[in-house]
Amino acid sequence: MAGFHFDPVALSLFAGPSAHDVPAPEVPVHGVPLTEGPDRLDRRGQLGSMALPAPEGHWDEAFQAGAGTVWANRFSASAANGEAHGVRSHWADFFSSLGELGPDALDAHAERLSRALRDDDVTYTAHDDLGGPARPWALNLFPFIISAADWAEIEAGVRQRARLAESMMADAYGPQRLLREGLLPSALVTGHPGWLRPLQGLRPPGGLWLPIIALDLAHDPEGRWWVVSQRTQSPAGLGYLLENRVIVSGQFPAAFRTLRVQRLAASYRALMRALINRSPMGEDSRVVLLTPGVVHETWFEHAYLARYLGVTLVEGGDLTIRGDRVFLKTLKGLEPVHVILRLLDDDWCDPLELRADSALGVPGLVQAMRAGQVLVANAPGSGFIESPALLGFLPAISERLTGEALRLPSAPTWWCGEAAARADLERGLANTWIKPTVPSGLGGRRQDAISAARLDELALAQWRERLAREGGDWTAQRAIPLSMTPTWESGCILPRAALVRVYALSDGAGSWQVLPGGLARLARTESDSVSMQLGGSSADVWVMTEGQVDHSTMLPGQIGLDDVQRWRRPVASRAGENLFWLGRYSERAELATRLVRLGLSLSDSVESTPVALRRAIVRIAVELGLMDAPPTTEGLAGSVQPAARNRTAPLQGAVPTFAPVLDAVAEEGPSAIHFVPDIPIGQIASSLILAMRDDRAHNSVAYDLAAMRRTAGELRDRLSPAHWRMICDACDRFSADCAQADLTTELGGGRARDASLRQAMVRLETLLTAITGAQADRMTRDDGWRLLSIGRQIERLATLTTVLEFAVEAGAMRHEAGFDFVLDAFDSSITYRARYQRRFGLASLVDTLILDVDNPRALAWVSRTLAGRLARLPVPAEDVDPAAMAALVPDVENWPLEELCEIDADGRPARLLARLSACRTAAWSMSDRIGIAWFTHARMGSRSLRV
Amino acid sequence: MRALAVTHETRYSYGSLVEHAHHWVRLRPLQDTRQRVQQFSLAIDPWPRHRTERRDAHDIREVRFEIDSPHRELVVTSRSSVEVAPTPEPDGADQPWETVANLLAFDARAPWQPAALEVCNSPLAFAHPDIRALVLEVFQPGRPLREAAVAWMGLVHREIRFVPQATDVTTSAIEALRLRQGVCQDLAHVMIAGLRSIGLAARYVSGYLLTLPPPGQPRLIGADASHAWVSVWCPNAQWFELDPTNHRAPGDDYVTLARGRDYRDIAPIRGVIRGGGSHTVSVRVTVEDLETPPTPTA
Repeated sequence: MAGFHFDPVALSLFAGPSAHDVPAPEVPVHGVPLTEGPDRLDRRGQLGSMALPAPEGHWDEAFQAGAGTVWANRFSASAANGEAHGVRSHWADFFSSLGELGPDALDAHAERLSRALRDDDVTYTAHDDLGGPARPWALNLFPFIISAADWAEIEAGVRQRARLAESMMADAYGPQRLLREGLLPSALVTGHPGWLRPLQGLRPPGGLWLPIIALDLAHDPEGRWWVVSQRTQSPAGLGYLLENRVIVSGQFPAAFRTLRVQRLAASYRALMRALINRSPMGEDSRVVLLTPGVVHETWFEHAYLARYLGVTLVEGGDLTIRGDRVFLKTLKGLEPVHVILRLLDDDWCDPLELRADSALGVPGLVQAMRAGQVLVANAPGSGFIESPALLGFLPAISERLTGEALRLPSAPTWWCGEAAARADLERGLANTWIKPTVPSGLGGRRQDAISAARLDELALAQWRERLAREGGDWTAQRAIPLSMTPTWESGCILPRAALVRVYALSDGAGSWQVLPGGLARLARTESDSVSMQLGGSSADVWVMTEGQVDHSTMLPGQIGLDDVQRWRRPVASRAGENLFWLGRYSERAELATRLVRLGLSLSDSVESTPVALRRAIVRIAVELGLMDAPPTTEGLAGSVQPAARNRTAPLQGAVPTFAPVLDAVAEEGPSAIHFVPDIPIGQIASSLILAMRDDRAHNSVAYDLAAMRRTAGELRDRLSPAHWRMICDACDRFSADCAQADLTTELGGGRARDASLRQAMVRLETLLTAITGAQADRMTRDDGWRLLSIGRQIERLATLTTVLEFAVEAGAMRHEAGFDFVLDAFDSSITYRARYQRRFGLASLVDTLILDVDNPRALAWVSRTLAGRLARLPVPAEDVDPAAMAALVPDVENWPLEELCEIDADGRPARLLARLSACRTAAWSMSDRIGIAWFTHARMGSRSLRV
Repeated sequence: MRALAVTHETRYSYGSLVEHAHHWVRLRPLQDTRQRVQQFSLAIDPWPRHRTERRDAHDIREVRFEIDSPHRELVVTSRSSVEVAPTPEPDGADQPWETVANLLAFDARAPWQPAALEVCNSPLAFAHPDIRALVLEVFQPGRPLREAAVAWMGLVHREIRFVPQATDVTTSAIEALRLRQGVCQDLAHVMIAGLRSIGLAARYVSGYLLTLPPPGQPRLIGADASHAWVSVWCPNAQWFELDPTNHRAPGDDYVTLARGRDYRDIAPIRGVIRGGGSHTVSVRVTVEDLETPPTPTA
């Protein structure tokens, strides 16, 4: 599941055939110390003069070759004669449009840029730390600028390459003329594991195999552009580069205008239009974006692209094939799909015909393609086109297939399977990169590209022998020294080696547009290779235009009546399930936080915290998983955990148990509470504190927050960036506050810590309330939102009945403190006081907390809302009746007040307690029913059969 | 000509209900100059609602079906009767093997050899230095192709012990060689990978063996299931076959199902299910000689 396919290829920073004799040149790390020096102020507005030139042997993107090492005064504030001073005109324009900006201002820009990346939570997870936290995306402040003249040349060359790649695909899966005519060795086509035999003979809808093609370009010391590699298996970067553009152009709006930088949206629009035109359903097509899921390193961009393009983000399990047609499992049942934008690697697409062990794909997808029922962009099977070995054969292939010479040359490449190539390398090997012909991910050699320039004579000789023996496994490619572009790093302008990825996007039959922009990847200081995986950085690519700047956006120009219907995205079942759990976790986190806060704020004095209340709190906290059962509670220990099963969603992969939850506690009746020992307040507080930070303990505050974040993470295409940021803020703030509290403990002891944690809980509660607000008031009320709300109401109903039941049972309501505690837990103190001031009675309590249909915390309101939302859910299958299900929600508002207030011979409101207990059980089993009705089919994975 | 009748039954039993299933089968024996299919029938139980048939790019007939009613068992039974002719001895198999390999090596100026496709690596049978080292033990310089290939078959037969269940359908040649055990499929893969690693063309052949041997001859391994062996290219578009599992050349007691680069290309049956819990699969194959009905064994 390689994501970025960024070859660690890497390109040499050195030049010349004898480079291997020379130690790596020092890449300047000192730059120009802008933070000190007497003439700092004099250089305001002369940023260009602060830059260091690229080392010898590299094209300098900003400065004229031969500008020499004297960098000072090369550039004056007058941009017009910038050239004369050695600054290339577009960079002179860029620097001068920054105007009077000094280094401090640039630092401020850089700070704003990293904040924007943080706020949008732009992440990129590298291979080796899968499972670890996502890494922030690295972006440089300065763009990589390509002049209009250079772009014209690149554009024509890339278009030609796109046509060529497309013809090669059609040939490899069709007549195989290139093999028959000896233009390509079969080892590089059918012998390449990326060539997929099941695709042979297939004709994709509209004849389109590769709507999206990426090329990595290098700019050599003479200023020529070379193709270093081709990427056709769902190339990464189309989302990141948009994010880069938004952020970087926002930092330099004046420069962006002055340089006449071409806009990007039109190319994406053209691509979507081309796909829809070729789709079997034409205008009525449904387009989805297929992702391996949140575990993938470029998940950020998958969610970003889905949102940007306005298409549904799906995983393999969301799709199903019926009778050679593709369907999306939605809350409303199966909906047809006609175009799949695929970000899942080729071999994983269809466990029936490709990798049998793939749990990420869609069984039958290849057959649906054969049947012409779905356009997959890109079609699987292009892995062989990515092999570096192919580049050496392209000039002849181009002549043969298109009748034209290659306009954009490839870095000279030798496939070592050919004796003639090995002979060439007898002398030329030292100046190359040696790469595996087939990537290790496809069963090739497990070896990164090797810079032969770094090998000594002995190692070189060994490699020559190895190439003679293992020939075809290896490909040598001449190292092209990369150009250097200015970057802003820790207060300096430094030159960094750059590799530029550009994209050809199909815009019609046999025609591709080149996206006027791209993704530049920059080398790390100490590294001579360019790879996001190895910790490089990126830059926005600005393409200058002499023509019109295109101001179109992704929004469709004219929205007709039909569009209105079509633009209502269906809610995939899996997304629905995630929304349901997001609702539950958000509500649970909020209620848990409030209860812990209340527990921590109890006074130490015995009068104000009577034993009944302490018992109630321990009982509630244990039941809800907010603290561990006290060791002495034998009778309790066995009965305490029952609800935990239901309260935890299987987040990834696990098959859930839908066993109805039997609440043992409810059946045990009044006796259970008496097993609860009387625990001192201090001990309650420390138990609560201990438990709340344990993010592995189900139902702890930390766990709820983490689960909320994870669930929201899977929904990033549906949540507004602001919503996601609030969730991250709440989680981060809680961790930071806990860490701070530890520090306080060291300084001020336990009391100081408790005080600090109490404050932390107040802060967290505020943040969570804001999230509740965002969910209630800032989301479109579609079926997905209804599920989110239903999740919330179920959680609220079950938790609040628990609080009330155990508080009443413990006799806590006989005390003012108990009354306050319960009112506070229901967030209903103000409502109650407004009505009853400080008079306490069971009837007034029941009225406010149970029967009131206007108080959103009262059980009647919650159950009425729950039933109402349930009844409006779509019918997913014939045997599911949402209205009937809604009727199973306890009809709290019609519970008779007199009965609830009835006190039995033992002095307990037994009927109230029984109703509460039944209500809680009903809430949990409602969750199971919803799961079975709406989510089961989304969860059940497909498996290949053993033979 | 010999007339053989083949019955091939595959039975999947599931621990719990299968909600939905996609399958394809390739169970129709191939038709060529040596083998003619007289009759073929395919029974699928439960009856699939959606069923299509196609020929793939290599002319292999594939039946695809989808079962959307819950089921606990699936039985696929194919019945075919086939006429098989004896295998002729190929010409050109006595050339030194290097001469043959040179004909297949890529040279931009040389004429195209379709068999070069069969030199290429495939997912389960790819060249590997260890296999290459082993194959060179018998492919001494200048040795005639067929003689060396037969010696290689013997070596594979000795090196890899026939052990059912030791491997599965995803085991590659190099993995089987390291295990030193496997089933007919693995022996075939190792043999093919060896030939490919020295530039020779080889194909994977799947099919069946006569269940009961003629009187006085031993019962062959693989007779009660589907079998696999190897086809080796020699110039003038001729191929000869070798069966490393039984250490012999196939004759008219072998029925050919399909040829491909390795097992993955021509697997007889594949499926993906939703639901089903754990499952077991049992395969029963019977091949009868229609002229000489088998004598019941005591």
